[in-house]
Amino acid sequence: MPFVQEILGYRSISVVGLGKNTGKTECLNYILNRLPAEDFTVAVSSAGIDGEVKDQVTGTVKPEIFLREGTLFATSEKHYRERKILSELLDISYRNTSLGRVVTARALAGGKSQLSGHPSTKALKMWIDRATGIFGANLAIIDGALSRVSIASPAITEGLVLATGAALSVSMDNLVFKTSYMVSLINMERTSLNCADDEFLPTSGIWRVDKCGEFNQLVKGGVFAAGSIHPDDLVGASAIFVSGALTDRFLNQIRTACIDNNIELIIRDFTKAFISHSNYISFTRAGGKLRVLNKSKLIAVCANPVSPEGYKLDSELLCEKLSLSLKLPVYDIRRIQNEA
Amino acid sequence: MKLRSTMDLSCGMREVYLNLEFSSPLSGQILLEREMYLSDSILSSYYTKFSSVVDFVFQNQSLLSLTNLKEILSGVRDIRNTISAMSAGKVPDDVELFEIKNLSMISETIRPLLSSLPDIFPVLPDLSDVVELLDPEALRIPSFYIYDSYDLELKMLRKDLKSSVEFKEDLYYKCSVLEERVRRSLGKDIFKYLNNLSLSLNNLAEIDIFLAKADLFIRWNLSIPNISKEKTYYQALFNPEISISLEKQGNKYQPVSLFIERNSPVVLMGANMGGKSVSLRTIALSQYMFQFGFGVPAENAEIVPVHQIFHLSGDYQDLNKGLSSFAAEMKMIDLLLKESERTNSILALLDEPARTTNPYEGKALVESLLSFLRERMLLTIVATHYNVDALDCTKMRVKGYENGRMNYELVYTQDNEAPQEAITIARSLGVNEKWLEEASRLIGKK
Repeated sequence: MPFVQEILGYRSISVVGLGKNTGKTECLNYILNRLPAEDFTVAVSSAGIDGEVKDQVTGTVKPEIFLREGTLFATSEKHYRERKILSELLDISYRNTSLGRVVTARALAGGKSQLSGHPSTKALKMWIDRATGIFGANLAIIDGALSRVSIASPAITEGLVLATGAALSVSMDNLVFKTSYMVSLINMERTSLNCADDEFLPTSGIWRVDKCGEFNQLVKGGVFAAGSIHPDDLVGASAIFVSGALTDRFLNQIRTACIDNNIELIIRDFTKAFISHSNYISFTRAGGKLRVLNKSKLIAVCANPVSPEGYKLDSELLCEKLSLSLKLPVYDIRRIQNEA
Repeated sequence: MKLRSTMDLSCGMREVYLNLEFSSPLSGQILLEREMYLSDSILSSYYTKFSSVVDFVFQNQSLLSLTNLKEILSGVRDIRNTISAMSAGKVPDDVELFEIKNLSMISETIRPLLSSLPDIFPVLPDLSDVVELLDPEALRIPSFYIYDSYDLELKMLRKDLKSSVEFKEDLYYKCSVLEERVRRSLGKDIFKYLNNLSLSLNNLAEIDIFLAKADLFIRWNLSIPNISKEKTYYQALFNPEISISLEKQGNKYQPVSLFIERNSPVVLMGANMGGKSVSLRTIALSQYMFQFGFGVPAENAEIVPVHQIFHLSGDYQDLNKGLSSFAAEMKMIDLLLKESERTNSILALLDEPARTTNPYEGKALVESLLSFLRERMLLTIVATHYNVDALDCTKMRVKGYENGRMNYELVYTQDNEAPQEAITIARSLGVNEKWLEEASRLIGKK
């Protein structure tokens, strides 16, 4: 079975869809079904507060997640009440989300439930630690909505599986292009600077980082508040840390300073890079260093050749083209399921 | 008055609340809704209990059962809504049953612990039947689902469900219907324990509150005051918040002692920066702490409980309301006078009333206010810079500058003259010397 064997080497992975209807849930189900059945406990949860049965935008029916007996899962109170699974309630979180508190339960028989998620990246991280620690799961899998509304970042997991598909673009070249851009963002190098643990780093503002890892605030607030950063403020800096989103406008403002002075630009993880492909390329080709604090290893890419409007790309050709461009194994889940 | 409404007062009750270390967040919520204790009898019976808790905690800080108790209490959740919904007849769902099981199990774990401790904490009701009900397989773990043993039919159906390879939705729904039946009957069975559950929840919070307050009491070096009918007396009163921050800088807070009697308002005089405002704030804080059952920040104290505390502090200028600071202040004093017609159970702490107007009228306003408050037998302290001519008032003054250092001690005085130290103090701040010299010259001329 492709790539499932590799997954077993991780403590936590997230399955991330490049867009809506790219087959993320199918990919998740595929993995869940193929994990070893004995002496192996898996815990699943979601990084976002979504999980409607029917896709509210395109009207397509979203596949529900099938959970085997023994699987641990976390979902909101609302979705726990609507579950179609016999399960034992283990724990309720203290913090509220818009769908109620987060409930952790164990499936006592196979069944289905919507997964909905944790209110913050920190809460998600804590849940993974709890699930794999106290509740004894061997692997935590996070359903990571990469739509920009996802609150918790999936990049805190060790590994990552990316789902892409015709829903993103029905032009195969365009699809390959978009996917490979995302893959290059995911593969951004981790910063070499010896920064403190992510938890202790500032959550707002733009900061300069010295060689020894000392932080000094340059701009209060986010990149939109950044008027301009005076070159004097950057003398001797090793890096600039953007605690929130990185935008095109800010990147253009800071690019010469970074490139000329060999200053790293650090963001939290790839989900924080809100920059266009051309800007990214021109920055990195000119020698600019864009780095991340949290990096997940990209394990595999799944491609869904069917778009919700009914277009269907040639599965084999798509996988081949993607694989060639990404230098990574690419699978069409439906096809390998049928073949198997 | 609820504790919640003291949170935004300037005297610093918020700081007191924030320093309480509750095991469960529920306890903080319950405490905030608590009314201020007003009567002597309630206060005295409360403090009798509280002092034995403090003694116990002080002597047994490292006792295992005490740390254990706190740890178990940290699992208590706020399920007041669940209990009230169920008492209105709602059939509980799994989440609610989980909450109830969790509470009963905590209550049943703590109950034997309490019996080994002296009889100072509120008694927990027996909830072993509820635990039995929600843990039919006697696993004694706090997780919950509708167990197979509740219903034989359900058990059989589930066997089918588990043995089928495909997920059978109709089978699942059949199970759900049976589960619903079980929940309904569980709801009915639990109904008669709802009062006890609610009692247990409240008493667990009460224990947590007691422990948090006792912990603060010991940490802050508070004391339990005597309750008085006539006069309030403080020996070595200190402001906990300021004293902690001073200690961090390696300095010490200088405590003050004073008397307040009904028939003799205290007029507090003294130099700027002499700690008058801090003293008034601390007295207000201490009165609230006393009446909300925290103990007081003083070595020794005797306090008259009051129904209302008026603390007029600082500048009330509110540009949005179009009131000048003078107008805002006058309105507050007007309210005080109105209230004083109804009751004399008031502590009035006025920091420089009428300070923003001309000294001639200001003095008259303060003098007449003092005589009104004295007539009405209020407990009053007025801090002022005016040379007030007040009969039958107790005059106290900050000792002031001694050998280049401020002595904050309060002493009785007979002088009507307010001490003249403004220039000395300004000089110590390094203010323009020429200006101060000129001012001294003008005073000499007069």
